[in-house]
Amino acid sequence: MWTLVRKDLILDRRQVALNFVLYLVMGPVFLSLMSETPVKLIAAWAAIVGTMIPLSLLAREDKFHSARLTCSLPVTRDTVVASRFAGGWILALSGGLAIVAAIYGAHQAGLGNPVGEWSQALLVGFVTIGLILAVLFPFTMRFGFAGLIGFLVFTQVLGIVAFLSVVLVGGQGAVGAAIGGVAGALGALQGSFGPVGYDLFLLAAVVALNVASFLASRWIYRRREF
Amino acid sequence: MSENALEIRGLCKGYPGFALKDVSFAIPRGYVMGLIGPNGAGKTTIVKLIMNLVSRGAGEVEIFGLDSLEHEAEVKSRIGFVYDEACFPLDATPRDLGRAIGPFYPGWSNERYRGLLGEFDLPESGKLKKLSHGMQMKLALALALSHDADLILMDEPTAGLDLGFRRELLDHLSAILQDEGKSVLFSTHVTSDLERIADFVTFINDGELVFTLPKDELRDEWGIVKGNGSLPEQLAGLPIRGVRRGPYGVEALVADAAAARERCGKDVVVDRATLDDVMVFMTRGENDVDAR
Amino acid sequence: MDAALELAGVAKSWGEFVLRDVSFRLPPGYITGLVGPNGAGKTTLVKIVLDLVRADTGQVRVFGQDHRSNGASLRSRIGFVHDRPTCYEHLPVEQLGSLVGSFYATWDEGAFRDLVREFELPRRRRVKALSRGMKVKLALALALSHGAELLVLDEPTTGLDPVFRRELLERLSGLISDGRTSVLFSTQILSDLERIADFVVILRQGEVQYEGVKDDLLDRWAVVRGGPEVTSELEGLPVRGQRQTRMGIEVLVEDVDAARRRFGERAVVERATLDDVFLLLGAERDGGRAS
Repeated sequence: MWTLVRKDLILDRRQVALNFVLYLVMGPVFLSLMSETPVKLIAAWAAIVGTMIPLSLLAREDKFHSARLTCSLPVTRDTVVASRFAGGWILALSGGLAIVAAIYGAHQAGLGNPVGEWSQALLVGFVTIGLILAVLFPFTMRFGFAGLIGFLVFTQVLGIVAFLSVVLVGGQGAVGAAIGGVAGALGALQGSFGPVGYDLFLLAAVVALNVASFLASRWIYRRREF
Repeated sequence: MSENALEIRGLCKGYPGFALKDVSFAIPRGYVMGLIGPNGAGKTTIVKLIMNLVSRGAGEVEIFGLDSLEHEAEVKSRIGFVYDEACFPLDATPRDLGRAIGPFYPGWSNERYRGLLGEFDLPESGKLKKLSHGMQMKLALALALSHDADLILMDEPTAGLDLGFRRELLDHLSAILQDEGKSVLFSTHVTSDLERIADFVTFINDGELVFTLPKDELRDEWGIVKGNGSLPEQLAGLPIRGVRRGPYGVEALVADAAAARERCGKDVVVDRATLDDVMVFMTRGENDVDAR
Repeated sequence: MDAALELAGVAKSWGEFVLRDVSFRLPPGYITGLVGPNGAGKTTLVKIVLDLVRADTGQVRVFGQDHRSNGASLRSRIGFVHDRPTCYEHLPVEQLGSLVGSFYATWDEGAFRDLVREFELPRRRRVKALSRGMKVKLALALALSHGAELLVLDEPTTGLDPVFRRELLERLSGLISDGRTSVLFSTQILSDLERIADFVVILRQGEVQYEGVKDDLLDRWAVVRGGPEVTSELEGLPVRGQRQTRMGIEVLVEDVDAARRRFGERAVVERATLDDVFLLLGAERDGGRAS
């Protein structure tokens, strides 16, 4: 599996490097645009941007049809999925951490004014990466980059629909209630687990979600045709 | 130890509008098999099924005696492949590809790879996007030939390559085969290349196997008989594989040219059948040749 | 009668690549094959004939007239058949007639429709969705529908399966039977030329290496294959090239009978195929090329 990860890094290194450089610059810019930025927001943002690195590599795979190459090498489909997972996490985590580090460094140099606990932020970042990768992974295993775009468009559309429904139908109450309901449930859990318990719960949930996503992706990829 | 490098039994695969039905053939170790057939006949599907790029409907594929699904990684470590469409990132260099792909194969030799790059005139550090299609094909070949593969699978590897290079490639393949008992499956439209190096020829049409025969048999025993309208009658009972009628007369592809000569004597001309002829007669000729 | 196409002393220098002193003649009403390695200049030559590229020196005459003097009307008599992407890829086949037809005074829409039907081209399908072979047939249909008398085909059969190729070749043979149409056919698949070409022009390193009747080559030229001792017995034979291969020596000799008499059973002497001529002509044993 690591031979596959290495292969991808060798063949995609220019794109990865470009992404890193771009995002490292964006980080401090982002910071400087807001005053009193909550550290959790920074972490979430860095996490989202971090996941873009492995996801952007998918576009290359579709463009160059390189999945056909990968699946012709002496590896099984399951191994390919594992390498994508591992590679995706490694890139997203290192991307996110690098951005956070850049922002932190920029702050030490006098830029911006982030507020909050950095350790909490790391948890938020991790959970964000975990959620994004877990949800998107099976889609991309099935549909590649096109699937990713499709998914993003779908969520946009969902957001627009929700917005319109609120505006047109005055369902503000319903959408608000739904969001309030989720927030309320999470708050209740936090209350019952206590802060440390709650953190562990989130971690466990993300891990469980990723395991499920991994298994689903394997099932999907075994059947994919090139 | 199995005698066959590749053995396919009852292979089936369905697509909307096309189906590969019950294809079976085998390549003995150390031999070259040419795969011919019109566009859309199923040749690429067969190659994809061997490499497990698409799922099987039914049937078995055994490579060196091992099932290609159960022992996927092991089997593929001994296969060198060249596909008809590029599948490499275009901003990579040949050196990148060697470094990325070599480690997958126990038999990989970097010296051999660099030697081949030199022989094929490929710059180690040039990006692929600067290479013409023909040169990208040569690169794929260099990769496929650098890990001592026991089975080399090529799908239209010479399309777009000029004759000089095609001939070099064939010579190179011949040399590998003679020395080392490697086997080759070579799907192509340029049948003159096959006439040069194939030992066996498998003809696929419309998803079905038409025949799988030694090339020598096709070359020595088959023939095109040219005569007039009474030709089908004259040849009744002989193994006729296709008939074409035209303003010039009637031509029949027979699997026993010697018998046709004996039967018809001086009335007809009997020529050797090329692989192209065989394909044309068996796909476009009439096969129902009761005398009219 | 004027040659359909005549090149005299055409030269063009373009960066690294060079055409030098190219001269040949296309006899009218016949099929002439143009053969050469990739990079020899075939495509540039074709572009010069079509006036897409200007030669540095030399003359190009089409139907006896300088190809630039009456460019537009001459070009309407030339049909260029290739499969590279063109600007009307998004149109369906049946609309191409009106589009392309508007460029030519001699356009015959009825003929185009007939050809589309005869070639079994799907009328409503967009050009970019056609298979390679269909694109070539379409280009041929277009060329024939504006009354082209000179057809220039640039690698029309590459990538086509043998059955399709045979069809195309048979059609081309049929076309010239009226004596009015001439064909210049550039290809790497020499067995196609063996089948239908009347004349052959071999281009290598920017120059014409051979120009002549195809049957002459196939009837009289031979390849002698044997071990290294062959090279010592070539005295007096009209040798045109030789090569060392992994399996021995190959020598191209312009006289098959003489070669047979000289070697008898001691070497394999076979009639040369166009492939052989192409590979061996001008080759020197060490792999260099006679310049």
